[in-house]
Amino acid sequence: MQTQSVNKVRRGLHVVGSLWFAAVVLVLLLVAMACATVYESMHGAEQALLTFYQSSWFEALLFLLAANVLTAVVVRYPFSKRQIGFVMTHASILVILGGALVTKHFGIEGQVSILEGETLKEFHVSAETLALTNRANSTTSTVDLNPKVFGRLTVAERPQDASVALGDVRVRVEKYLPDSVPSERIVNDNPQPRAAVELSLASSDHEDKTWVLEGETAQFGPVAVALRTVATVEELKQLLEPSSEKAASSVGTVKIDVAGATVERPVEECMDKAVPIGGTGYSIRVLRYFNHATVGPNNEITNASDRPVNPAIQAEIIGPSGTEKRTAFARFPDFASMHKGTATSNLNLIFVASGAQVDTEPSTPIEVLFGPADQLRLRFTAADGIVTTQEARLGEPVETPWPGRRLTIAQRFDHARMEHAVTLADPIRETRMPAVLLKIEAGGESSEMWLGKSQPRRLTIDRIPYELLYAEKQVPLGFSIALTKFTVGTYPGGNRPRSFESQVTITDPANGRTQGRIISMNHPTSYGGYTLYQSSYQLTGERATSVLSVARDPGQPIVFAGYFGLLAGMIVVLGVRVNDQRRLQGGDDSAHGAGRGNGRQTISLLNPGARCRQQPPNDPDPPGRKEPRPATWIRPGVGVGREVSR
Amino acid sequence: MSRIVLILAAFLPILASAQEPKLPPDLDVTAIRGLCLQHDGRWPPLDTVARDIVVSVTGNASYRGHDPVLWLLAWTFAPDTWMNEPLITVGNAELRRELQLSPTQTVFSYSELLSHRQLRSLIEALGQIERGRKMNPLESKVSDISDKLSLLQTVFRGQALKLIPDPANALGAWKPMTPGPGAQADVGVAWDALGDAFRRGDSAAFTSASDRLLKTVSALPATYRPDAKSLATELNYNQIQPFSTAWKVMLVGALLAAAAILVRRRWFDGLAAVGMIAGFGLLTYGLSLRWQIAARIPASNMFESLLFLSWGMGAFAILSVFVFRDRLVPLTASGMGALALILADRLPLDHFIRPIAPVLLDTIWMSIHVPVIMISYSVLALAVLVAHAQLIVMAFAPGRVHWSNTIDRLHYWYLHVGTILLTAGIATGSMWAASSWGRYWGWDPKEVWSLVALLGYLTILHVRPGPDSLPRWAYALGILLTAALLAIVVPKLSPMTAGKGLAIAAMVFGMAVLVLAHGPFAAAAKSIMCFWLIIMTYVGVNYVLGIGLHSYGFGTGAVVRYMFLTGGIDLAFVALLSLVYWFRRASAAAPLPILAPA
Repeated sequence: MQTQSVNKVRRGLHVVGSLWFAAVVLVLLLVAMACATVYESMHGAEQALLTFYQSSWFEALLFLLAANVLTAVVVRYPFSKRQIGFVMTHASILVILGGALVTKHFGIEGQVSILEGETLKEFHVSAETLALTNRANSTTSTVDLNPKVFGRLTVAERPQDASVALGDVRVRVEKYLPDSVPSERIVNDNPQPRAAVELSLASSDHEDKTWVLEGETAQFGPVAVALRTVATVEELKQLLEPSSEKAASSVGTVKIDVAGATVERPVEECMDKAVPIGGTGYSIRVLRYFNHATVGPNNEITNASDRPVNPAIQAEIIGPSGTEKRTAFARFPDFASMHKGTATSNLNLIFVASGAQVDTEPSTPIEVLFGPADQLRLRFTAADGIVTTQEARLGEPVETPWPGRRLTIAQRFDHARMEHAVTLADPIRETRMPAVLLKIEAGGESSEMWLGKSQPRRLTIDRIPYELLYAEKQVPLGFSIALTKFTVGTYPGGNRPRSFESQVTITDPANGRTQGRIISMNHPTSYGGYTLYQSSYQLTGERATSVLSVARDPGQPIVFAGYFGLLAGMIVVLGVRVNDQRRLQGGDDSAHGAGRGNGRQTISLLNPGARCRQQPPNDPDPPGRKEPRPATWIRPGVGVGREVSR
Repeated sequence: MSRIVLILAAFLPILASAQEPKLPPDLDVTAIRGLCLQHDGRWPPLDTVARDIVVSVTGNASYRGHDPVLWLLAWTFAPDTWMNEPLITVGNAELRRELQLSPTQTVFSYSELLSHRQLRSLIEALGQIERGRKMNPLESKVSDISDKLSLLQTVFRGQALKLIPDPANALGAWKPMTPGPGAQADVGVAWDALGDAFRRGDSAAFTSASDRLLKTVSALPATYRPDAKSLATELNYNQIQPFSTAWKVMLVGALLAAAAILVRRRWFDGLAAVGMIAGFGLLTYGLSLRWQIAARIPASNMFESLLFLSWGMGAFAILSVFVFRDRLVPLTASGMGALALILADRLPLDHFIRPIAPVLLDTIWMSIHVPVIMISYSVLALAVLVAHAQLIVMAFAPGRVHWSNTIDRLHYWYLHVGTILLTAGIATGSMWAASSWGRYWGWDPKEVWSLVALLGYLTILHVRPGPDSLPRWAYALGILLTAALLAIVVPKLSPMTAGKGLAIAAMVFGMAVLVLAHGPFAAAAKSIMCFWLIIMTYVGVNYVLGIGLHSYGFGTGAVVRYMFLTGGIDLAFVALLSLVYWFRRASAAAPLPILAPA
């Protein structure tokens, strides 16, 4: 019973350590990596890393490889002398994979971008963090963000539970956007009442939509839209019948500026009678009022219509040195200066048309009248000044004075608020701007806030100033580095760069000692456990920014040792094969009696598959059972030897 | 630059030449050839500059059978004449149609192209291309013409020959000859005399003027100029053209080696080996000259790596002769070596010694990594050649068992050594990356593809000649894992197109072949498949995927076309031979003679 289960395990190990399994895993890795490069050409290196090389399934594949190699070695124990090469080769592969594991867990790789003259104490790595700083006492709470989420091209909701907390302020990531664009939207949750409507202007071929808030104007292309709340029926009545009452009372006021004094009189008061203007010695007599003043070819002014499109008055100024006729236009107060006379040039005549009438000026061609109660009205002012008002209902299109265009009030909010939000950029741009939605909890209250990457936001909670920062993770170097000078060496007679060189000063805080180092391409420098490499540079104006790679990798020597072992092992295997070959060429007889399994070994040079494989003594599958093969692949020694010696 | 060209065009006098101008036939340019100039970050002799410029403009160093030095002097001293002579070939008929150039004419003059309105507007449009976008084929052809025009303009203005050294700065810019008095008055007189003698075709005056020019120029103050010996080395290198000579010798060696298989005489084998060694020796000599001239290992671009490819084949073949006294060895080495050199010589690759990227400089690793990886490619290329021979023998002469055995043995030797060298190449590359960038592995596409190719070869070595006697569930497990991987990977490559679907189907088929097929025929077929993975690593990553850090050796899109065409033909050939092989094996009464037990 027990031996049976042992046999089962042994059989299982033989499958895992089999050449068949090795071939499968090798080909799967091959295909995965080939596809990864295609993916990289589509989506870039960063995404290929996250989606392929650093994914858990790829790691599982590497684990299968390690399992295969390890089992292949283990099941062949104890090893014969001939198998030294095989064992070295395969053990070295395990060493390389182990070294890679050490690199993954204990190695660190990042960059410093350092401006000439600048001193830095930290470098940044590709991981991201969220930091909350209390600016009053400079305490900071930082949390590492999961690199498998932050950095990917997909949106994540509640990506992790980790949060930053200082005192009773706690900040948590609610949502992650790989690329964001700021946007505005209207929401109906304002504690204060504020009206807003969403309008849609449709023609036969397209539709425009816009929100308009109370007290603000919106634009439908070139057409302005305004919203006015109407509190009472009286107010509404006044709006709907603008001219009847007001025109009767007054068309406006005459305003005279003279010698520093201003005198105002209703137009009607001065109509056809001379009214003295204070104590200035001047009098005014209004001769005519125009609703729609038009200047004719001989500079005479006529009334083009009864609509108050261009209100104006014609008046006579009677002064001590004579009488003068002047015209004042309500909408063009400066026009008077063109009519500058001699006798009264120090006097300024202004006509202010009454409010209700100037309102009809076509600056807001569409006006939404909100109220009283739940009523909605639309008032259109066409280019010719004709005003039409219509009742409107939510969702029902209304004909406008512009042919073929219908206006609909799609939505109405009574407690509107403009919310500045952040939305996903679609498609995701090459220069991404990742953003996170944060939930800030403090003293039982919570609020939400969007935060873009590397864009610190300041906020005040309970009168304490805080700063939130979502950025690349900074790691302390343990020393400070200053870029003294950056030089680009060129090839003779040109500006083609030949070398990049950063002259840096490294200061150790432990002993305060300072030393100068030079870092150039292919010539890194090491300090404090880190090695710094010249990576790239940017020239911004006069000063250069040098980009240095910073790395600490305890796995590297392990991997390199693995490389040497691997190569040595492969060479030993080859040497054994060549030796076999020599022996075959030397004499046919020796090939026969060279011990167990030697028949297969001696022809292994001809036989790619038989590489290193020797059946263990307790092989459950005796080597006798074999498929029919081409003669040369199974005929040991003699025949082959003859072929070789030809 | 193109803008200057356009401005100049407005003032260009269009002169109709009464008769075809001729180059002065019997001038002795031996002395002037060695005039030291500053050119492209180096100080080569005039001969090299002339070759570079004439090749760049006309596409051929000895254009119309003339010495490039004569051409360069003619353009420098008689610009008015040569502006109107056809020098620039616009070979592509489609481009000529696009430009509305004459459909029958293929070679155009500088002034003709410069005053061509359509071309000018296209050149102007090149300046509008946003950064980072790749040029489309038409744009790159127009840009090519524009480059030629600006180069010719530099020559016609006398700016191309920078012979006046910088007196103060060793790396400073040298200046071309400028007319008028100055510190270089003596040089000016000699220069004018040279130009005068050239225009008159006065050979005696030309010789004395060139001697005087050399003398006066060498008397000028300079902080640095190369010594006479290195100039002589470069002249020698230009003179003997070692690489195009070497492939001719190798080709003769290959023919001799082929004949040796039929002749079967020891002395004839020796002759074939001599042919192989002579070609290899010439190549080695050429590489050493180039190394001296460039003052770095010639392993920085596609051209130079092809030289190493060829060299590696020769080197490995000479080594292999001692292991296998087989006639196939010199044949494959000479043949493949010649092929690699022919590709280097004939493909549109840049043959000149250029400045290289900073990452390649000042490091021992380039001298280790590139030769190792190129020699591994060489050995695997030899393997692919014998693999083709194996397919042909096994498909058409299945009775010749000893042939296929010999080939199989050689093939396996090549595969095994090639795989070791490929591993060494990847390991050294990884160590170089660690020393330059701080990480030994960064999943760069070139790194990944080199590993892909290695895994392919490792699979060949690990697939046994016959199936293991494993329980059935072992095979089910393999199939399951494969299906799982495909289910993970394939959706990531969306959007799916017909081409991609086809490629994935081919990939799955290739996987099945790699894992399941066994025996000498399959090993040969798989070796050919895997060699295309090598080609993909070697050229495909730069040219097809166009990504990654290793994009320094840029060339033209023609390389990709050649690659796909050759690859398609080759794999079709493999498929055809496989069909023939299977058909024969199936139709012959089983078991085949070769399957008969001992």
